[in-house]
Amino acid sequence: MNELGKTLKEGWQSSGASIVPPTNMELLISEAEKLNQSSIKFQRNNLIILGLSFLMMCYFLLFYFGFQELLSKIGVAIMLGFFLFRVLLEAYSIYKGKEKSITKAAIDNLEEEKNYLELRLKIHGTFTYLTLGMYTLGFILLLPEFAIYLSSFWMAAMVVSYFVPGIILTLVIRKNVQKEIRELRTVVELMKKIGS
Amino acid sequence: MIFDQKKRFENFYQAYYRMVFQLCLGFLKGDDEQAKDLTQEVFMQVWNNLEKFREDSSPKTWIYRITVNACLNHLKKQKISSEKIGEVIRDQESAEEINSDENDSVKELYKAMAELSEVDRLITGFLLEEMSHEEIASIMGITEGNLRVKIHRIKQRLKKLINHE
Repeated sequence: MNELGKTLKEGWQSSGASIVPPTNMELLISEAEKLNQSSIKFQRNNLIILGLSFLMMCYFLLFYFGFQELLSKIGVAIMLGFFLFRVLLEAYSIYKGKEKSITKAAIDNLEEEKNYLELRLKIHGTFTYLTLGMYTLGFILLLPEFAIYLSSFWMAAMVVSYFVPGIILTLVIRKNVQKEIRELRTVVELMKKIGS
Repeated sequence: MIFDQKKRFENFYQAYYRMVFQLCLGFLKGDDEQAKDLTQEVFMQVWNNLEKFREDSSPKTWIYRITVNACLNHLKKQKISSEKIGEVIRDQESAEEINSDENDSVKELYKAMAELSEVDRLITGFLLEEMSHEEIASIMGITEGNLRVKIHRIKQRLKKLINHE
């Protein structure tokens, strides 16, 4: 071989001579289809869960509690508006994820992956923290009206039951963001290696 | 329609399995089991993307693109799970993954390839398959000039590694 030398080429050829494709092609196809279906299912379920949560929130905040005060109504609008904003962002991210293609040249594939991860980082980082912050603000605006009907004990219980899961959720988000930052770094590192 | 797709897939599978497996094997430093899994993953992607293949490139180039991207995805996953960012995986081990069933010259080849960086291992595999510079550059998405520089570096490094043995 003119590029790397005869010995290497012979070694490569001799090692390749004994390789035969496994015969379970049908199984491979069914596994491929399962993989495709499971990724579509996962994304679809994610959106369904978010959508149902939004509808439940609408029911409780708009109809069940029946807020009367203007401040509470502003709070409800902020909570629902930002939750809907987050659901739409998730849908957009799924749409962008589908645009990625494994059949492109390596550097283009990595570029797509980088852009996608940057988008995910914005959604999971900046926009999720913004949503959480605004959601909390909306919740705080509801408290004066709740205070009219609830005793101090139940008010305290409600605030604790909001903030404790909220803190846990923030920690989970932080962990996911860190994982995505690591992924992004790896992609950039690989792009550099190919381009250098 | 589905029958045609299956027939087409079967042709690709029979024609390119060896090529894909060997590239994965070189990339994974001779680790036979991992190479089998990665090859399977590549053909699963081939099946899932077959409808979109419009033959604007040769099937070989198309399948090699999928292979390279699958290899890089595998590497990405490995690096993330190892949680040691910035550390090149090739530093983690060297000869222990080389299949003990292989003969000496093959062992020597994979051992030398294991010392190269991940991207250089892929390019070495293409060169050993006697692919043209144009094809390799199109698979990697780099210019032929850049590729020539890389090949020069790889040849020098391999020469050193093999003469050193």
